[in-house]
Amino acid sequence: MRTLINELAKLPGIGPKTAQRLAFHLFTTPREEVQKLATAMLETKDQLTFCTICGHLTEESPCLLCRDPGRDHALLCVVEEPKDVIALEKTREFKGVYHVLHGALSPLEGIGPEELTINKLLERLQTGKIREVILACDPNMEGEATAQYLARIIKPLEVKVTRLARGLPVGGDLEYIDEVTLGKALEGRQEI
Amino acid sequence: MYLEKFKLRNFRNYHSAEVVLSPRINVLYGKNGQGKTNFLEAVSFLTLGCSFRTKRDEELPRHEENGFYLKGEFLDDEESLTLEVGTDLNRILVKINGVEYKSKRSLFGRVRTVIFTPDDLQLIKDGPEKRREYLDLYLAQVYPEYRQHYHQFYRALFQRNSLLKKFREGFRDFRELEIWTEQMIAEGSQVIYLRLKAIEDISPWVNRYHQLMSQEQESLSINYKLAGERVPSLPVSTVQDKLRTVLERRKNEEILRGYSLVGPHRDDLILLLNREWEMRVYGSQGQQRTAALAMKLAMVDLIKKTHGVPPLLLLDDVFSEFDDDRKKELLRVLTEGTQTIISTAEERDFLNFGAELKSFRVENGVIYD
Repeated sequence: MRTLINELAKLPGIGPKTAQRLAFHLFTTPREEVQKLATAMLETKDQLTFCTICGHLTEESPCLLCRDPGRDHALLCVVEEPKDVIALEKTREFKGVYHVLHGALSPLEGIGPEELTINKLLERLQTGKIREVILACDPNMEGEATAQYLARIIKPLEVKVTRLARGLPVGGDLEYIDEVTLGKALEGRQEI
Repeated sequence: MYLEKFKLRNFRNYHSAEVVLSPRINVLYGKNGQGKTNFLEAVSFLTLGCSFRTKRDEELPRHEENGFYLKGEFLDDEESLTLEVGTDLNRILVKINGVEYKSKRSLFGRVRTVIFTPDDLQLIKDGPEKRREYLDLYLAQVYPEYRQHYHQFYRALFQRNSLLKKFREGFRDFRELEIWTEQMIAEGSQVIYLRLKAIEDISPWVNRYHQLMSQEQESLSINYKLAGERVPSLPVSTVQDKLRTVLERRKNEEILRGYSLVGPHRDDLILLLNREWEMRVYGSQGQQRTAALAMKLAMVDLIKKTHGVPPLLLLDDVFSEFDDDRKKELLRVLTEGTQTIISTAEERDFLNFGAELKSFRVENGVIYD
């Protein structure tokens, strides 16, 4: 039991108390259910790899997105993590392809350009098939720094570089939005 | 917004106390060591989320208690606000109008507060750090965006310092350094811009208060020193350009030392007596105390001007070193509308103040009306 609790507590977002609760829950769950969970975990680990083109998670490389002829392969969206790809796919707005950096620049955590998949991104751009790169890094300081860094190295390649707008959440109240976000939204206003 | 009712339990030398305050001037009098400053400390903890005497909250509960509890009921024409904070060993619980919050930081800024204590002499005497702390504590209350830019600036600074350290170890990517420099400039220039704007606003008040308290004998000017150079109020873009130029000039030195040498974290205020004598070096203890108080009172005006409502003013033992004339002037200033809580050893200083004043005798952790 102690081993199980310790292992569960290593997971992100799980503290010792939650780990203990989960462990007891598993103990009272029927064996088949636990078996299913264990199998799913192992299968995920064994069968998923990173796509050799975009770096997204996939069972088979290249991934489905990279192999899809219906998508616009000249439009490339750069994101920090595979979970960002999933978030963007949920919007159904984006029909291009992706590039996953696997992180953002953060000297404090020892993450520099070498630790990200920037060289691979440059290789993709040098094929000359890409028309526009959309930088979709997180809207925090590290994401901003990463986007600025990428913009500087992509610009000389004469590829159009854009970035996601920063602004107001849909369904929000103007009066409750923090000053900095509201300021950015004003900055990025559009003519209608 | 003024503090109407204040309750404290197991805080410093108080077991349990509850007082109803005047919306104008409140005087706490009593011998030293009875709990006057503790009372002011408790009020400021509730409105700022921290003590002005210690960074260690575990020093605050009464002897042999594990925690303390404070509750303040604030009122103005339109609304009421109740702030509560309770601690128990390492746990803290904040309630704002009955809604629970986990961090004491959420207390900050709800009721703007200006504090003056005898230690504020350090504001003039000590190094630049104290003067930056003064700017940061009050500007975060004056401009809501100040805090955000300030935290973002520090995040960029730590990232950049971390990269500069790597440069010392031989790893060098100048493009990456440039990016972090730009992030630091973007946030740092906003911080400096707001500081300059505030200094421009408060400087006539600083001078006026200093003159009042020196019976028109002396003038006091306050200026901001950006990277060692005295500058007036400037637009953000000019601040950015200035920062960029100085950072470029000192880049090699920064790489050599492994940390950032330019930015709002290194800036200072300079206070001049009669336009030429630096207060820190040439001011007497009395002049320095007057200057520090003038800087604090000017913040009261800045808050009044920006938000339309005066802050709560806490004055700990301000009268101890002022002569009678200065005391009189100061009291006159205080009658201008701000709710004030003053601690003093000498009740007679306030005898002629009439109905607007409420006084409390503090004795051994008990408050008598």
